[in-house]
Amino acid sequence: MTLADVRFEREDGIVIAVLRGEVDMSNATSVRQQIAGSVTPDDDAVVVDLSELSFMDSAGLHAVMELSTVLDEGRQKLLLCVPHGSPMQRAIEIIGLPRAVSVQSSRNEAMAAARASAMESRPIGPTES
Amino acid sequence: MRYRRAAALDPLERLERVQRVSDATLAHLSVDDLLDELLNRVREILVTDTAAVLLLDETRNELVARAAKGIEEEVERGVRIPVGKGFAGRIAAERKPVALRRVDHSTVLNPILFQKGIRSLLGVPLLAQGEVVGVMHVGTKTRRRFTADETELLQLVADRVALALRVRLSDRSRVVIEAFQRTFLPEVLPFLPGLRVATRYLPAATAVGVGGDWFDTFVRPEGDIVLVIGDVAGHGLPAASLMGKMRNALRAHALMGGSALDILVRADEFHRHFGEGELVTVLIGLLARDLRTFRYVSAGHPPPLVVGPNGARAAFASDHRANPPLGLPQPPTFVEEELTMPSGTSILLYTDGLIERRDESLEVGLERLRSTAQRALNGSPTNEAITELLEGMIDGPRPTDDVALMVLHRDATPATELEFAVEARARSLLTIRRAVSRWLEDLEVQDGPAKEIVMAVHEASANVVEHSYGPTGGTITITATYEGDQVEVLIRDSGTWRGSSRGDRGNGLRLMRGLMDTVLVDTSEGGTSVMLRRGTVV
Repeated sequence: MTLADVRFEREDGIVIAVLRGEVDMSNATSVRQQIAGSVTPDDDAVVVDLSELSFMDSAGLHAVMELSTVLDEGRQKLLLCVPHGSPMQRAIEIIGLPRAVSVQSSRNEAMAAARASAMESRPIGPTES
Repeated sequence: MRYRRAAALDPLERLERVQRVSDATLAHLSVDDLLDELLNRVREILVTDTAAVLLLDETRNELVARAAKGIEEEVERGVRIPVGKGFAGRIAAERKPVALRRVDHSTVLNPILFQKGIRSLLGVPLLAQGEVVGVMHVGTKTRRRFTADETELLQLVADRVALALRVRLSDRSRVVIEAFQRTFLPEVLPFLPGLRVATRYLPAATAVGVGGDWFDTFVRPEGDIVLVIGDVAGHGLPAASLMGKMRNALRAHALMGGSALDILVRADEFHRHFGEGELVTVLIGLLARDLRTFRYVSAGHPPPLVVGPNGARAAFASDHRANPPLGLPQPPTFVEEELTMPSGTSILLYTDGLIERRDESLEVGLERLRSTAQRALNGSPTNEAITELLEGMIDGPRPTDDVALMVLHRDATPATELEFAVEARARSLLTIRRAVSRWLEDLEVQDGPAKEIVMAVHEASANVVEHSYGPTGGTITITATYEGDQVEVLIRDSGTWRGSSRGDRGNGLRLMRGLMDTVLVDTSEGGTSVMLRRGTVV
């Protein structure tokens, strides 16, 4: 039993990480490593679902930014699912997140946005360069 | 030089003298009183000015003065003599009597001996099962040559002393067991505003009684409070070490999560597999983080006693020993019980030692506990309240069997002020969040503002954890007040700001400013304080 646990799902090249519990400076790095460690080069996007999370602090948001930097290098999109009106949403409003991170208020919206971005980035047919 | 010489003793007289030190009236004395009395008698029998006992401290291989007559300073100053050094050290090393006709710097290590004018000394080893456990010696202020008879007599007395010490489980191992047991009691009690936890552990009056009672309480990572009280049958080191194993196993089982019943079922399996049929009773409780419900399951352990607000009523929560004890060959079906805990309620968990008296039935003991607790636990479980309870239950200063007890009490009215201090460590942040969040919930502050206040207090505290103290650590003090619709929280430390090691910490301050109406940071030489304030009406 830990402060937060991460459950993974996978759908059409999208990794969905559902966080439960609380994320603060004591476990933010470990949570980031767990998520980063479950992404393969073949994945198109990562959805981090915060709707079951009861607390996340600025260290947790910092970990999200670091995750975004890592995923950017592999041209993989990071999407957050943050319920409307939650304290996490207030925190994101105040601190701000890099433009590359897409914030959605529900899982469905996050999945739709993830699929759309996957379509954009996925090469159609063989490419020559 | 002439020596004073005692007349040779005839065998009958010798026997009579020895009997004076092995008399049955000594049997009930405590170790200290027994040594006192024996030394007085030895002084009388051998006509000496001083008599002393030193016990071996095995961990340091030194003799420690434990009791003395005529040279009380030896004990008062805590004289320690290395084995092999000086007079007493030589006796312990050689394991045989030594007589000194001249006492001076060259023959003794302990200056008290010649400062007191002692001229001659006779000492013998205290042997228990062939092992040296200490030294006993007598001294005279006049020169004297101790005879072989006297030496033999002193050795006989020393053997009685060694035996008496061993019968009383020897002071040394009693201290060891008690120390061992203390290490298994929780280091800190859970802190949650609105909840008070009081505990007591009383070792039995006789060393033989020291045994397997224990209690444990801690907050699980997700915030529920685990309470365990248990009793391993038997006494001495075997019971105490099994208790230690059970306590650690239960900590691990509780940390895996699940209900009180889940934890108990794992403990039952554990004891069936690893135990050797020892009788273990235990009660496991989970107090919900909102402090409103207490779920528990007992394995052969006496039931919790619930005392209503202001002592309104007191009743046992379930039948006596509803479930069987741990580790039966066939896993039984344990039943979990649930208690609601309205404000002002106390729940008492205890071990048998509290209710059992040799000459009365269990029902009488339980009823006495019920009526005593109703009187004593009618409010917060203060030291006075617990003392009153124990005085009503136990005859004399120490119980005949070990007693462990825990009282949980939910405060009657929410406080408009909250103050507490925690260690400045990352894992304290959870405690801070829970404490402030519970306090705001009790004051019925709306969920939205409450969560934002908790986040701001957390950020200010996280800054302290990260920046205020070096490796030696320090504390964070939180003071919160609620007045009108304003919540004001002060987060203080006494460290020196160490600058930002990561880029995200500036975000902490931004977050505080965004969430609260007022944020004031005051850094001085004595430490930093952050004041946060905001209205609670949205």
